[in-house]
Amino acid sequence: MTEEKKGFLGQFLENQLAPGRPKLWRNIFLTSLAVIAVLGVAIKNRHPHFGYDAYPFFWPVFGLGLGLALIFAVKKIIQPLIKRPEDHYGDL
Amino acid sequence: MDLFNLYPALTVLTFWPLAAALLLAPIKSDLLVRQTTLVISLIEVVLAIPLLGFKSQAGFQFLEVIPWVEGWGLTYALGVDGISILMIWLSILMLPLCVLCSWTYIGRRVKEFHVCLLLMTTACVGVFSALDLVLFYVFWEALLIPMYLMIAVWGGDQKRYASIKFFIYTLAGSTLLLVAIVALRLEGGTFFIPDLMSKTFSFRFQYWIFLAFFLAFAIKVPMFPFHTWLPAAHVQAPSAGSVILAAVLLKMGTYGFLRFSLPLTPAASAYFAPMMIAISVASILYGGAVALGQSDVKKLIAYSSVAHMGFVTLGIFLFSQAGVNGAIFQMLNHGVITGAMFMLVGAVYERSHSREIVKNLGLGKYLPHFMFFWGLFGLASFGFPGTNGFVGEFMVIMAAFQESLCLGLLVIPGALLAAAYILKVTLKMAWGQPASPQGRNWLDLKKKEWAYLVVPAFLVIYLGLAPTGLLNLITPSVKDALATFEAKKNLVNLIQVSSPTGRPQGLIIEEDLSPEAPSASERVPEEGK
Amino acid sequence: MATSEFYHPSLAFLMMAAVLPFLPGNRRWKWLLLLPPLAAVYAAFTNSPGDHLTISWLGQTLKLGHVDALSQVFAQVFAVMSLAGLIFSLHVNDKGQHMAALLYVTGGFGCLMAGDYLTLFAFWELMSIGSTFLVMLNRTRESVLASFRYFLYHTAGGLLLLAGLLLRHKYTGSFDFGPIPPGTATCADWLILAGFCVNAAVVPLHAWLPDAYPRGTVTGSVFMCAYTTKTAVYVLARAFPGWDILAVAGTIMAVYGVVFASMENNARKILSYHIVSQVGYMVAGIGVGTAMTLNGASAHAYAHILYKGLLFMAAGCVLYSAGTQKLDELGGLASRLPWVMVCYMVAALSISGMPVFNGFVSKTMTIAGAAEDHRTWVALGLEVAAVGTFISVGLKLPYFAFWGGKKPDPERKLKPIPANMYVGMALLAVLCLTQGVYPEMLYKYLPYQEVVAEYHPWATWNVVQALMLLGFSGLAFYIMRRVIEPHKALNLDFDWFYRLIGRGVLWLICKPISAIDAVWTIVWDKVALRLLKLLAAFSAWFDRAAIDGVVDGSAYGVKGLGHLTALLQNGRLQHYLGLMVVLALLIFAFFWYGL
Repeated sequence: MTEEKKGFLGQFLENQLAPGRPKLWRNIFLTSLAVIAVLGVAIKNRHPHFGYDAYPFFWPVFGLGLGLALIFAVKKIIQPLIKRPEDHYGDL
Repeated sequence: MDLFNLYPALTVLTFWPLAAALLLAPIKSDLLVRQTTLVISLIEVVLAIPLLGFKSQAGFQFLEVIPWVEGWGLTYALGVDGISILMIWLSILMLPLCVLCSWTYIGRRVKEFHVCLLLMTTACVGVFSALDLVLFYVFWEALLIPMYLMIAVWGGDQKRYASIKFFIYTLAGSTLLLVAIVALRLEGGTFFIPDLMSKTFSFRFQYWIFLAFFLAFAIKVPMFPFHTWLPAAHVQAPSAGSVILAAVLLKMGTYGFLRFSLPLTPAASAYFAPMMIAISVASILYGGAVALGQSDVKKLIAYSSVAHMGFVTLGIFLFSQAGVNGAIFQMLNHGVITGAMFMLVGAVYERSHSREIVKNLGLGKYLPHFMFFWGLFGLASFGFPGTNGFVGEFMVIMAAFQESLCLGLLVIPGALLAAAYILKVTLKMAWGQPASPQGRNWLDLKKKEWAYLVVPAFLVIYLGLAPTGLLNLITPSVKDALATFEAKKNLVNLIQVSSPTGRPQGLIIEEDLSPEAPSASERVPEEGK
Repeated sequence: MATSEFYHPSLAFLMMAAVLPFLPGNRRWKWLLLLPPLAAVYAAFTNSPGDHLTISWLGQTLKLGHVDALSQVFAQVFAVMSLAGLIFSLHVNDKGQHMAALLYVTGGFGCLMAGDYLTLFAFWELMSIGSTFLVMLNRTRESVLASFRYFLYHTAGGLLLLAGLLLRHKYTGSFDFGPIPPGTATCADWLILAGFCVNAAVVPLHAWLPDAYPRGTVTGSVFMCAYTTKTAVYVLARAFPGWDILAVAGTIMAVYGVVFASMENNARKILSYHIVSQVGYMVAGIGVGTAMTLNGASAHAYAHILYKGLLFMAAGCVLYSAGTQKLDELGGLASRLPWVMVCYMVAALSISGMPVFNGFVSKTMTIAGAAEDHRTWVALGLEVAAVGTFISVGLKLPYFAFWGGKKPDPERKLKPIPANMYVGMALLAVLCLTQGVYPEMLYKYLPYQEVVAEYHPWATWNVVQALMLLGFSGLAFYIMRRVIEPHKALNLDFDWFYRLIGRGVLWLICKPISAIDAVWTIVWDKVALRLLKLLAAFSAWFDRAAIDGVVDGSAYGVKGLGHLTALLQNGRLQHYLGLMVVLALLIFAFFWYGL
């Protein structure tokens, strides 16, 4: 299929796949995370819901830790137990 | 209002088809026979217009009472009340629809077929309007011959087996009916039903009369376990035969319970009510369950009739206003819905020549109008809100819950089963793969088919949204009947209590305190049992 | 009545559905489809509170037009969604699909406006039928089978509701639809709750959702994701606010949904499990039952309809264009479907609760309300679900659908997406954004206005907390992006049990019960007919030989009697006779003494 015409957004997105660009985006992402973490320390939580979320690094740790734990538990533990072939029920 | 009394409506309605059958005798051409019968049936509808003057009150209307054979106490008595008026209208309505749906279905001996149809209508109207026991019995038995002929002559491949089975099964039930009738005459002194309704009999007498009636009516309804004649008869009967069988004949059984068992044997009815409720619930669940496993469309609808009639008998034996109202309304609804479904099956049979579901797949593409009607009647069959099926079922289920939680919970799966088998057959017929290959050659509904489907479709929607009109017609009679029932169910004629069989268990026997009422046993002193 | 304005939104949808089959074949009728939703939007903003449209049916008073703050906020979003959904489906030529969608929406509005249980039940069933067709009309074997299962399941749920409302009528004498205080639960209320929970996809009754929604039509699933579950949320909010069991159930749903969504390969199935999760937020909010959480549940429902509709639209566009919804078969599409990707991300960020989008202003209210009410575990569970949501819907799905580490493949054919689909998506995306930036737009319509002022979504801490939570969850995803890569698989869910039950019942019916019926027929054949024939033959014979034989000699008579008794000794006859009698007696005795 010949090159389809792309709008400006499509062209922009395609350009982001050029070498070096993904790394740039990753760095932007990590920098923003650092900024957010600093902000989180600076701005105090006035109304902690649970006892622990008064601590400055609670939410980053919560987000990261839980995310890792969730993905790990789901893909490495739970899914292997309940995974079946796609046509297991004979629907397809 | 005197316009409605121009002529004895019920007699005319009963005997006009019979007389008109004679008109068919000299006609040679098949087409002319069909047209004439159609005209006859439409005249019957016109003749029924005076019945529109039916007032919404208790008691019998349009009474015609003429002494018949004085010596034996036979009277020629016809009359309608709230319980029977709907059934008469149903019978009259079904006749033109049956003529239309047999137009291309019946190819040989057309004249005889239409004579059978007319005879059946006579008998049907007669059964529902007879107020004399012998007259009732005559019409009841008179139904058997035309129905037997319809199955035996114009039926399917196993017609002989099915027709004989139908005939003997029903006849066997009716023999005890005759015995009961004679016994009532002996004990009650008359065959005239309104008179008999005012009498009180001993519990032992009521017990046996109830059982005798039960056998006859339970076979007719049909109730589990007396239902096995129905699938065979329905499957083998021609389209119009199935329609009349499902729409009208089955209702005679439940009508019998309402007209005879409850008023004449109230104490026994109350005594046997748990058994009747149990059998009704069994019919609902069993009929639905077996329907789910069927591969023949007609058999499926036949078993669904068993289930639906289970709802009706359940409603009757709950003895509440909602229950009996719902039961009578459901009788009408079932007639309309199932009659229409059998007509649809007949229509598709004419195209595919098979009743098996697997031969009728994927019709949605070629016969969209057909599937629309099928879908509509299917929805009505399992009681989708907005259709008439919902109204009747809802009232019966409500009455069931009023009675007891367990009963209601037992009945609910019946509704689920209905949804399951209707959906299964509708899905397969509409979108089943592989689509029947000849399907592309089939024409969608013709004008005539539209004609006989539009009427039930209209009724389904109209009665579903505005049932109050008809319900108002039946409510006073039902109220009156239930009030009498409540009053009499604990009342038994004490004169027989001292007989060797002793008192029945669990009943409070009150004295019949009205000294003026000549009890039956006083009139016929020695011949009582 | 003169000053109060009322127009029932269902009316136009119903009439449109009735008229549609008769409209001529050219495409112009499609523009008519937009009239009912516009009328509904108008109605949602102008209907005045109160009980309108009461009719008498079967001796009961049915209230078809009950309007108050709770029903109005739902009616608003239903109306907006119907407009967006119909715009999205303008390209569909199949009238059946349009009729199904119209009937479905009719049912939805009808349930919202129902003032009594009977009306509710009628429209509940209508919704069930409409949505069944939306799945069925996809016309593949898979979809037709799924629609059958869906219909059976929802009919069962509807029957639970019917049983409950009839029982309730027996106990209370009325069909009125109103709040039920938690302490006064009767059997009837539990049944009604069960019926509602089926539609709300409460775990373990939820498996119909991921079974049916991915198999619906591209446009049908967009409708379905909005109405069935949110109607259930509405009725739960009306009848069961403050029931603790719902708080627990909602939290379980929220976490359960994201766990499965993280495993799945099918894009719309991920979104379906997400519906379970997000509805869990709402159900939990209803369960906690304070004014703030009920506001939160309503706000969340509002926002959810908008962003979920957008998610399904975007996923539907991918399905429409690329021909598949399996993530392992997609990838490298970002530059070729850029605006679909943008719309998806708007919705994805909304659902995750990113500030600037409407999910942020609604989700956090529920959590805050739960925490205020000292329901620590509920709030914690919902935060866990928030992490999972962002990971599975906000990151995993778009990453593998649009990028996936794959280069855009010029050989892959993509069907061009019609303009109306973009317009529908744009409508919802704009609303998601504006509601996020101006939360008052949403808050103005919440049912409990008195507590609205207590919650400030745009307070600095809230924004920073959300950013922290989402940012670091994103980091977790980035680290584990190889691990979470989806592969083709079917994950067992509770539907394993439903199918087992279904198969069991069917087996029971097809084998034993049919066998009993067959035996019964045989009994008739072997016993009754034979007996009758026997009787007839015997009578004839006896008459000829025995009775007449008395004249000839009594020996014949004895012989005749002997014959009959010999035949009766035949084992087969006795066997069947005995079986029939025993069976009948057993059944009789059981019911007689049991009842």
